[in-house]
Amino acid sequence: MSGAAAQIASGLAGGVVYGLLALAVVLGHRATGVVNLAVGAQATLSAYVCAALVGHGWALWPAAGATVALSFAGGIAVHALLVRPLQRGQLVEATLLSAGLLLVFAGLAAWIWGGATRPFPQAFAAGPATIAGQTVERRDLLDLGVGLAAAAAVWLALARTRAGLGLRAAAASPLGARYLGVPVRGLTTAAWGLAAAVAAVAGLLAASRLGLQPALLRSALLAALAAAAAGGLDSAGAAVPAGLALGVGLELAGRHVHWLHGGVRPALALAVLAFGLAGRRR
Amino acid sequence: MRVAEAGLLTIAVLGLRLLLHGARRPSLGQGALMAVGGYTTALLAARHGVAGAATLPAAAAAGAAGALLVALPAARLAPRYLALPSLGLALALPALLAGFAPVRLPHGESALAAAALAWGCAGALLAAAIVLRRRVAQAPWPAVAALAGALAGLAGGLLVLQQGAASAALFPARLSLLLAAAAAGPGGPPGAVAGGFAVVYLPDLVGLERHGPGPSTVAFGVLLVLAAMLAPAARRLRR
Repeated sequence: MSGAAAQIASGLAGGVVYGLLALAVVLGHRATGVVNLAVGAQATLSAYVCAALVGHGWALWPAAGATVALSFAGGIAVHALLVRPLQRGQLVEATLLSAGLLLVFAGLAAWIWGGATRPFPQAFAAGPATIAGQTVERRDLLDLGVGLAAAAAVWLALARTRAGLGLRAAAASPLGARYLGVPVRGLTTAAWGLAAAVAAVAGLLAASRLGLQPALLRSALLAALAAAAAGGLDSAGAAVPAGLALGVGLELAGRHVHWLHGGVRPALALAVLAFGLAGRRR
Repeated sequence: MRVAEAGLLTIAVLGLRLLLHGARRPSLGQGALMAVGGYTTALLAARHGVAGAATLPAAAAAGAAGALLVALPAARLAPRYLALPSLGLALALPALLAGFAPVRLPHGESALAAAALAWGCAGALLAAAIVLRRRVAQAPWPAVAALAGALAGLAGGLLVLQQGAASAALFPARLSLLLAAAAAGPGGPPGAVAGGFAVVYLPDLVGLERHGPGPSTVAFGVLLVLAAMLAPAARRLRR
């Protein structure tokens, strides 16, 4: 399947992974001011955990749900034990901490499960689907649907719940929110957990597309940071659309632009990251 | 010749320490800047016939230029945001270089000459860093970033001279993060020597041969986490 529609669908399915990782970065950054560089490695570890649960006889969907819940708990523990004590001043140490966690998570995955690519259990059967006369890969659409559902769940949690309102208030004015009785500390920790859960969904989607490997989300981390930077690092609403656009752009550039011996994808993602950061306010 | 490698990594760690502890800007792309310097050395030697060690000033200049280019997008932002474009370069450059064939030097250095050159440069730079500590501490941060980039470029050039070829595999994305972990600990400029040796020998100590790169990656990650957690207390102690 190499028609234009199939390529765009494949780009969207890859892009929703970038978008979810970018959303995780934005959630953490808005709540704490720290760019969590470990989201990709943590999401990869989550995918390995899910595969291990399936290996112990769990069905895929309960295992995926348990993985997302475990990742949420893990995110809460990481914030409460490691990030919160460093949450003052210029946050240079907190940023380095997230780089250290990147190494820890990536190293753990390689240590426990080895460097070889392993198969990941498939939720959806492969096969063609036809939409408006265009043939696309059915799994691409289903992946996209799962990713968008996860993003919609986050949007509902932020926009339609008291906790979400408190979180947005705390991001806008931490001191003001505290004076109004918003439990800022707890909500900040919960936001870090929510980001970890969102990243876990991205990890599961990526693993089902590419198989399990320790470097599963290395290039996706670059694209996700680019997508988050394109929205100014603070816009949860822009993260997923930016990820989708970048996914389609990288897919088409990778297939049709042959400069740089195939290195056009990382070059393009790096350019988007640089221009996104340069255009950020403040 | 791993002692030579420890010497040139000491140079890269030294530059990063100045940037990290002096200017308080976290760069996660020093391994990629090593690649910039390394390919400068390789291309000058292989395509233009420049003799080995004579390429090193150009490698340092290329590293400095690369560092300034990386710092540009984060120039107006708070110090911690340098981590983003620099990590972006660390992730993108190995993937970019992987498509190109390795560049081989016409004639490599002998192992002894490579070690002498690396440790000679490292010793001179360590002495300079200790003598000029005040000056560097007062310099504006883009100048310190360029200096750190120059030292990374020099280290990359030395690595290519020692290995006899520049290839993407010589400068993996992991290297940038390992350098950050090695630079984050306490100890002033002399601590860079410990950092350089750690990057070369820690994988042996934790059993890289038997278990692949996983255990040493975890060890470096734990070092970086500990350095970050303890840094505020260490700064209070120094005051």
